[in-house]
Amino acid sequence: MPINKSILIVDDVSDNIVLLQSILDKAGYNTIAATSGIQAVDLCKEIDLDLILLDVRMPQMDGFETAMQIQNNSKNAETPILFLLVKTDESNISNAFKNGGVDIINKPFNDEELLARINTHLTLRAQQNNLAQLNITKDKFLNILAHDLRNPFNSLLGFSELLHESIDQADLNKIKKYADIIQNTSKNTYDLLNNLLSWAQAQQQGMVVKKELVNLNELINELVQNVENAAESKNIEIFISLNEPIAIWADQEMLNTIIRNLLTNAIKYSKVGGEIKIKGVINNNFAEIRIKDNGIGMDETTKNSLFKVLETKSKKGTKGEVGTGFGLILCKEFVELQGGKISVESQLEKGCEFIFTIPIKNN
Amino acid sequence: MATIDINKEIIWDPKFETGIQRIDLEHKIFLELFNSYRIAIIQKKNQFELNKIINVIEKYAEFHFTSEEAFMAQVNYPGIENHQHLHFDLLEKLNIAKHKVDNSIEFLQFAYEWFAHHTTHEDRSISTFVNKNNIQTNYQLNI
Ligand SMILES: Nc1ncnc2c1ncn2[C@@H]1O[C@H](COP(=O)(O)OP(=O)(O)OP(=O)(O)O)[C@@H](O)[C@H]1O
Ligand SMILES: [Fe+2]
Ligand SMILES: [Mg+2]
Repeated sequence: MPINKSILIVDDVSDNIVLLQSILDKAGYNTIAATSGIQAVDLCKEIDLDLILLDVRMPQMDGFETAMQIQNNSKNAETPILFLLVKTDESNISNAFKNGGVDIINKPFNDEELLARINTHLTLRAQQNNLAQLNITKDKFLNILAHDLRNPFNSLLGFSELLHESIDQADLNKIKKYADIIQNTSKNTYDLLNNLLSWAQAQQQGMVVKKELVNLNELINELVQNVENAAESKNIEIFISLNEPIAIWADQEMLNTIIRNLLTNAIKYSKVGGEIKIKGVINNNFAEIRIKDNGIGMDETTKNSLFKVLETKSKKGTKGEVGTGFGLILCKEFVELQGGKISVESQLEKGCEFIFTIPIKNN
Repeated sequence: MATIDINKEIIWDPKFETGIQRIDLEHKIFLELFNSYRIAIIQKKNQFELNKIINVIEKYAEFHFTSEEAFMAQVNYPGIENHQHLHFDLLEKLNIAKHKVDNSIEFLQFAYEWFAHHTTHEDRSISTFVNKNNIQTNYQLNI
């Protein structure tokens, strides 16, 4: 059964639309209809479609002209178009592929063949999308290998050489300093590698959501305890307010990662004496969790680049803490894998509030 | 339009005559096919068997229209483009009708009317044109 695939049917003869709609509805597709090319072009600017069935012989604006306009200036420029043509309409048939069609559906048609062709083109499209996504993943992977993983090795190699020399000179102070640098750099690089691999795994759909009943109150308390030291070092107070006990069906590991990342960020970008507030409510079958700080906040450009894998940057914390720039990418991935959403509200110097939702039911 | 009596043979009506040998010959085949379909209904053939005949009618209609369009081109019939569009419309209508065939007799009635309308109206204008221009159409001239 095709899940949530939307097909636009364009034909000036309403009997043709009724017929196609009944066949496609029965097969489980969502159908949308337009009775003119102009109407189709307008719809294509509004709705994301998976496939378009487009009659060629229409008054005013024919199917070829319609296809050109759809492919020139709308969000459906890449959506496969299958032209509807009468079997004996030789001249239009020979022009269909030059006019932006990926295939032809003949009238009269046979139901099985119609559905098979549609299915083939939907599958092809999905595979193209997957390939494009995979390509982004690969680019990002190589990018990180080339820069973010290479630089720490420069410093590891450089400082281990210095360490070696210091041992020869028996300079304990220097030995300690270089060992510290090597230790910190290794740890940060290891974190980056782990994040990178988790993200890549999620991209390749190799990550399965393991839902179990999670007690949010307990989970949050535990995570807050884990960051207490870091918070105390900046004299930050953390307030938790969950007005009721919240139990949700979620992947505990992923939930851990999400909240830990958001909490760590909040501490990292808070000033000494800051305040962090964690709120949890249930809202229309979703648990909504908000983590708010009154730290340094962020400008519009940073805000717009958050959650985007090709634009990740990492800024040092208020005490020079370093990061990998991958925390929020993972948060988004894990929230969405579980059927939720994540967003941020922030102004420079006014702090940040991260909000995410997770469906509470198990389905 | 006359209602089809399922028990009576569907026969050639002089009003179908265009006087163009080739076209009349092809039109007569339509009636043959309609009778096959009619007899299959009387014999209570299942939908699968009936669909096979519908399929033949459909393929034959495609053939006949292509053939007729070739003829019109050969005699330089000026209304050829318009006539071809009428053929397209007819095939679309046939497509819709064949998908609604829960009632076989209704389909037969549709097909017959579809045919009769096509021959007595549209094809009539071809023969009018042929006669007015004294165009000879016979097998010796290969048209
Ligand atoms: N609470 C916050 N306040 C201000 N800026 C933030 C906050 N959270 C995130 N940011 C900004 O978003 C960027 C991306 O955050 P993200 O968690 O993805 O990476 P990171 O914290 O730099 O590294 P990592 O989480 O991998 O250690 C940060 O570098 C910072 O600029
Ligand atoms: Fe004819
Ligand atoms: Mg982070």
